[in-house]
Amino acid sequence: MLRLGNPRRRISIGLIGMTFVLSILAGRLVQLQGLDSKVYEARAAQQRVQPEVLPARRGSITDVNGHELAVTVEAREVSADPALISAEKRAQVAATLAKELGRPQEQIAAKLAMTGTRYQLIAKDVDPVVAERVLDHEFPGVTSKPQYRRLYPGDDLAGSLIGFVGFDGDGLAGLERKYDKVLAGRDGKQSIEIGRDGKRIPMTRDTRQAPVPGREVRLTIDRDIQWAAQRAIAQEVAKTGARSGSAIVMDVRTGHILAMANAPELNLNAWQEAAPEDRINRAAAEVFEPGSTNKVITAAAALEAGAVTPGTVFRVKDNIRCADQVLRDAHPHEPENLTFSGIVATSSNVGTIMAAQKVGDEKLYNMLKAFGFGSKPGSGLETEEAGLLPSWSQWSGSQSCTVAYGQGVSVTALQMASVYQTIANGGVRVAPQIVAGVADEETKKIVPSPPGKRTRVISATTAKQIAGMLEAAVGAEGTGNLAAIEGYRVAGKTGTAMRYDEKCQGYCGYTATFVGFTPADAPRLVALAVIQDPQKGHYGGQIAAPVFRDVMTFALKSRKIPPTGTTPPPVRIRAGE
Amino acid sequence: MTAILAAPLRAARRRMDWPLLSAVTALSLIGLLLVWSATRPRLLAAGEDPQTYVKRQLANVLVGLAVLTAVALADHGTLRAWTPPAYVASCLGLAAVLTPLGKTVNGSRSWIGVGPLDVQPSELAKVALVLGLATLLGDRPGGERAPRGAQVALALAATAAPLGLIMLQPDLGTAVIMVVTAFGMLVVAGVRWRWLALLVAAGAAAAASAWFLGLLRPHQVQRLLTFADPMADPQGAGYNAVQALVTVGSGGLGGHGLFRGDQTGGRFVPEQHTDFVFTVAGEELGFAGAALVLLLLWWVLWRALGIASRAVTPYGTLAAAGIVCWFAAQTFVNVGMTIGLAPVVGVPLPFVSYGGSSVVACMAAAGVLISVHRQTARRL
Repeated sequence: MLRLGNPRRRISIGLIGMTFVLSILAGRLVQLQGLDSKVYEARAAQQRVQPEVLPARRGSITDVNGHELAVTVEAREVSADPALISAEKRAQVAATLAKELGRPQEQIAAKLAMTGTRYQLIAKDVDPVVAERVLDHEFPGVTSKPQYRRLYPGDDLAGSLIGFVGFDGDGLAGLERKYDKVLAGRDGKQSIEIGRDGKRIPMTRDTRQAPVPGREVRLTIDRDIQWAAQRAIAQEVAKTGARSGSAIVMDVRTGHILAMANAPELNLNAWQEAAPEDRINRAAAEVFEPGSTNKVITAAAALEAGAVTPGTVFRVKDNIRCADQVLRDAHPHEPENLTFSGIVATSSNVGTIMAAQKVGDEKLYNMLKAFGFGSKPGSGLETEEAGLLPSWSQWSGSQSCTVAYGQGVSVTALQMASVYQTIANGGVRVAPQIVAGVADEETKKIVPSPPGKRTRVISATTAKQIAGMLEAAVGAEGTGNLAAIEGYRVAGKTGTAMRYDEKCQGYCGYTATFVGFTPADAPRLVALAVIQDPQKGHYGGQIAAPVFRDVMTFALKSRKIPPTGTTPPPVRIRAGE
Repeated sequence: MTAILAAPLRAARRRMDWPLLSAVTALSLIGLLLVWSATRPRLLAAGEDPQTYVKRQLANVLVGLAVLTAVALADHGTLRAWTPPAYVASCLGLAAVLTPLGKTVNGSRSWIGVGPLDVQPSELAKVALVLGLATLLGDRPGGERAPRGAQVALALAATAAPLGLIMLQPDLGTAVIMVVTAFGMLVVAGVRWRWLALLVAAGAAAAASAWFLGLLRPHQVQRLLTFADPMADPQGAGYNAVQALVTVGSGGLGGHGLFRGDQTGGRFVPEQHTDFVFTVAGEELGFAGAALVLLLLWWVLWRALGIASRAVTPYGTLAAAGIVCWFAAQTFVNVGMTIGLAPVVGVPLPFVSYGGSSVVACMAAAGVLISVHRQTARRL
């Protein structure tokens, strides 16, 4: 046997050395994979796991019959990673995408040719069915991402009432904003594992928390009545060259708002293009001095206080001195003997002031307050305003007279509609309601909103007496005869108020109003029409009453409310000399 | 005909080193799985056959096993006879790499295209160097205990030629392996400690001057600096080291399961089927799998050391010992760089990493081991 510099010893040293080195490697592995593996695992996850939000589908806003007023549809965004599409296949991919998506082929080909980029948007708002068909071709690098889009099938139907959502799908205005939490639902979460190239790692474990879709919000609005109200007010605003107008239809017994229309109205599918003031729901948010429609409150105060009866006769001149001012009726006339009913029916300012003076400021103020002036109606609309009702102790000398006929005090159309609902409902105010119910998260069935708060404001007798006066106001001798509807007994009141205008720092122009209810003897519906700053004609009886008539006629038919078939009792307007 | 061949084949089978062959086969099979897992995600994403690489590696392994068998059945005479041509051929190959025939991959000009194949002559040069040095240093006409000075000088010259060519590619990793292999063979050959100490001093001086005279390429300097502090630039120079560490560490004790490693699936580790294949084992098979790979490699080395110590000729001892040094160094550097114990220099893991040249070279070396083993067994 040959000996090689004592090789055996050198080899056994080698074996020991090797074992030592390998045990260092093994020791290091124990450290990495045994002791510190959690640290490395966390580090690995951190660079790999990408949390992704799964957007919840927003709930619909529907009308009282479930017709969709605002709806969320799914659309897809188709995009491509040009780096993953080979040059030979590019033309074929572009041709197929162009055909499926209906876009110019050259444009798509140009995008696919940008191989230096990893993302090219090919098409947005793609129908999911089409997107699926595109994906079925299984082109590498072509992907689609779901996105939601809010659509408003009625365009401007109840536009400013419903409101709109922003780019990120959050409610920005109107009911979209007010009910954002309910409508939005809860977004889900998903963490997907992303490789170094930014693409999803195949076969990785996903954690997924499904989104909870938003809930349907059902309104008390009736799509058809809303449409009729909107058309009528828009036509009248256009005809009279007015600045704006609103119309409201309410259910007397429930306080449900069946229509709340504004003109001009906001087209929700293009809300960005609308002027900021046209995005406001004027019917609930615009404050104005109501004028003669306010006389019913003065009448209520006087009747409740026992200061007058409907038959109480007043000797009414066409002007009256009140503190430092002389206040006049709308038209000059010889002094005449009017019953209190006659004063309301013919809308005499002077007569109303005389009645108010019998009641006193404090009682008048309390009555205004009881009818909801100076406080928000509680309809559930975020933008509803409370109006302006200064305390009686701060009224100026003339203000205590003007408040009686609706100047020097401000309200919204919704507040005024609520006043007439109260009278129509036998003196019981039911808080106006706009949301009929919200869908249950599980069953999707609509859970009705609790009924509006009921408050007795005046006695049933007073309410009935005022209803009689209002019916006379629509009669042949009243100011509101254009509001008459054939076959129905209509009660209502005109209003022609001087309009305060910030631009001219005083009263410029008019506010024309008509508000009333039908049938007068068994009221079911309240309707109001208000026209701001009309240029052609300005009397409420002349321009607002026809809107009321059209809208109310439509609503009565739509709700299948029959005439009562009764005859109105005769109302004495004038007393003999 | 079959009857005539049957007896020698039976004898050949008896004299095979079955434990060694089993370990090599096991490592190759594990390698196939790891290569499969490492390459599948990219191929899937590109819409190609996810088994492209694993099929090629299977071909590599089969060719390698054929080479192994051929070499194992050759006796020392045949091996010696083939050594000078193999040595010359590999030097020519290394030179060819530097000509326009060569291909540059990842900054190293290490490949030449031969028909449809890419051959890496530096891998084959390792086998040639081991056999060449064994021939030179094992020549003991007078039964000397140590090689003569001329032999050592010749051996150093024989090492310097391929080493220089490899440094020109540049391929620092292979160069390191070659230096360690040659030095180990000098130690086993019985060269005096004094001479060895002198060699180490000369090597250290050469390394120091290379460093201070700026002979190293910037990326090599960067790698060595990165090794000192991989977290200094985890997205840049330290990226490979950090990702490898994270990938191995996240595997834990049991691993995530084959094909289920998320780091591997996300292709965070570059060159994962070749130089960083150990990270796949670390992540997907965990400590259990990684330790098994190490144990199998240790098993190969232990068998090889046994063969070296039992060899009846200095040639056999030196060849086997050279292969041990080669495999041991390469294993340490490869595994070490994936777990932060060695700088990132590109060397494959013997038998496991993807690559035809590497697999065939390692198989040929295993064939040499078995050939030496058979020679010993025949004598006994």
